[in-house]
This record gives sequence, structure tokens and C-alpha cells, in this order.
Amino acid sequence: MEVTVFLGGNEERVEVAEDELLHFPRGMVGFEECTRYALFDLGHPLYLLQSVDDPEVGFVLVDPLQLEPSYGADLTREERLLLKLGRGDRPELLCVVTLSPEGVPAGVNLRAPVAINPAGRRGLQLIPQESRFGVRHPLAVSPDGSIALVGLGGGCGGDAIADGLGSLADLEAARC
Amino acid sequence: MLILTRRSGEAIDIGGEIQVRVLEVSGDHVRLGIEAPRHVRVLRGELREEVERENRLAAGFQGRLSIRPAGGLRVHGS
Repeated sequence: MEVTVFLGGNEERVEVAEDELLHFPRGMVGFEECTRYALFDLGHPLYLLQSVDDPEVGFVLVDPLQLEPSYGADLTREERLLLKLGRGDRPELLCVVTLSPEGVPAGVNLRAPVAINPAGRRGLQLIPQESRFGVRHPLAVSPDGSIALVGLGGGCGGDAIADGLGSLADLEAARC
Repeated sequence: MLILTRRSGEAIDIGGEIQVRVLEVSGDHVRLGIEAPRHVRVLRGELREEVERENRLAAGFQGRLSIRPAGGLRVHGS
């Protein structure tokens, strides 16, 4: 089928086989009505998650392991079932990128990663109960094109982390 | 929406699996104790809204991306 993609100010139609599509049974958070996506490689570590149902809905994603090697997320049994993951299988995790008005990656949501099971052609945006990450960490793009988190070198990401975790720590303390 | 009045120490049972107990009321703060099975995600309501806001900021602006993949678009994993 033909998928319409907007990139770099251009509209492009790309042929994608039905069995290459990813099914998001719950959509993305806030976009629950869009359940079918095509995932394109934009050159490591960036990807484009493009809705097949609505050409206006597309997300630039980044491989978080390239930003923070210790990155990970726990899945509940129900989330593993939705992703059709086999016992011991681990999903690929990708994170939503926000762009500057100039079209440069400017922030990344490490709090709510997108989990993908390529074998089962399934995807799900997770909001893990616990996380040391926030919904928007600043990104810096080097002249050579490499992307890095700003200020996470020492294990601290500044205000974004504090915002994401303040009340959550209270919640955890109470859930004993 | 179901609306219930509860006093400190009283609880609400949801579906026999989830219990929400009012632990303490002080001014405009309410401390709640939540017992739920492990598979149920318990999240602050604002967190989902924050994630939705970030998604809305990201979706639809992908057209601005100044990076073009060499050799055209390729489906991941194919």
C-alpha cells in the first residue's frame, strides 16, 4: 500500500507491504484512533513512525540506547501480551523526539518510550510506573550529525528529570 | 462519573482487585493508599496528559525534519 510521508518540507509516497506495517492496538497516547504505522529508518539513530491512517500524524523517534547506554523499561504481563512478545523476548525501545522550528532534534521523551516487537509487527507506547527520566530531555546535535543528551553525563538531566519524578517518588513511597 | 464521599481511613473497592484508601486529609491535600495487582499501572493523572502534550508537539511537525536519509526511505527491519 502507499504511505504518504512528509519530510524536509516534501511530500513523498512510499510503497509499503501490508505485512511490514506495525499495529498499535492502543495507538499512541493522544492518538488512540491511529493504530497502523510504518516505521522508516532515517539513518541511525533516527526513525520515522508514520501513521497510515492519517498522513498528518508522524513521529520522529530516536534509539535511546544511543543517548543513554543504560536505558531500559519494564513491561507488565499485559503489555507483553499486547506486543505478542514470546517468553524472554525483549522489545525494541524508541523514544519520541520534538523538533526545533528549524527542524533539528531538540528534545526527547525518555519517560514514555515506544516499544516495538518487529517479529509480531506490534507497537505500544509505554508509560512505566517508575522512571528516572522526564518527558522532555534537551538534545544537542553536533556538526557531524551525532545526537546527545544535554546534561545527562553525570546521571542528572536537569529540570526535566526533577519535573518527571517529584510526585512519582511520593506515589512510590506510599505504595508499600 | 460516580461520586462518593469518604472519610479518612475509609476505602473504595474497584472490581474486587483494586482498593483505594483515604489515608489522610489535610487542607487541599489528600493522601491515598492504592492496592492494585502488579499488572495495573498506577500513574498520576498529569503524567498521561504530559505524555499526550509531548506527542502532540511531536506529531505533525515531522515535516520540518532537516535530515534526509541517503538512498531514500526504507522500512525498518526489512
